[in-house]
Amino acid sequence: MNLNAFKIMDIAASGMTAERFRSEVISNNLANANTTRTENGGPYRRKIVTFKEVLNKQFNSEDEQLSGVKVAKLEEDKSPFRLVYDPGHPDADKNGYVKYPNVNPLREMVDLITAQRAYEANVAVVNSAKTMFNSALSIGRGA
Amino acid sequence: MFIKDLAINIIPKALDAVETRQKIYSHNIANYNTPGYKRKDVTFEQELRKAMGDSDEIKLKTNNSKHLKNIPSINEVNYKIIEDNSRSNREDGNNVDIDVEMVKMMENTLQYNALTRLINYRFSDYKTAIGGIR
Repeated sequence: MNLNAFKIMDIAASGMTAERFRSEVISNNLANANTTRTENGGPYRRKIVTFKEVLNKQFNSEDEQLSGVKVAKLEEDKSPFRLVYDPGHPDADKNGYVKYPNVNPLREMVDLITAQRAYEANVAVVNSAKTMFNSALSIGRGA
Repeated sequence: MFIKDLAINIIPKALDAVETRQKIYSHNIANYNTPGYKRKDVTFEQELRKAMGDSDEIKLKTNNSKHLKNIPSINEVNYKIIEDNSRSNREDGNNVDIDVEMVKMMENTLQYNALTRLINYRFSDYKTAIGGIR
């Protein structure tokens, strides 16, 4: 047992951190689905998280390199805003159109479910690593 | 006695390989949403089979202990990490299938538990041999 079992848990934890961060961003997108005013001016832009594989080059042996996942970037979705005809709205332009954020709640919900499932998968990894560790500790105990 | 015991030689190696495999499955699952990631795996059984002399390779015939053998000895068996470059049915080029990965991981956990139990049985055999049945 060369402390590999803890490494398994660390990797799963990195996955959990990344997926939770994604859920936070999705939650932020959903919360701002109708925000027409932001600090930068204009409506809110949908944010996207991208992930990156982590390879730890500090160890020489091949198998020590794998260290899970991390958040690579938090980017803005450049797709066009949703135009809604609402002349009474304070943010309406002179033609009576209001620019709403490019957030599609349906899409966000689907992404949220994906993130949740991936998070659960990582939790399952931690649990199985725990079983393995406990069974390693049992070696020689009953003998 | 212990040194010549095949079980005591192979099981720790197998435990090590299974543990590394678990780490790699965990890495695969953590990278489930990483664009372009290709899943990795560990081969140990094939290496072991080769060392046990059960392979398709042509073996040299030996009838003296000083003859060269072209099959690796059990002590040299090691696992290998391979990358699975199979085609992905996902848009982002990632070929991790979460169901496959979870099932493989569970199998691997069970295999680990079975191996620890095997080595425990071995130890209790020795205990019986040393102390006798009371």
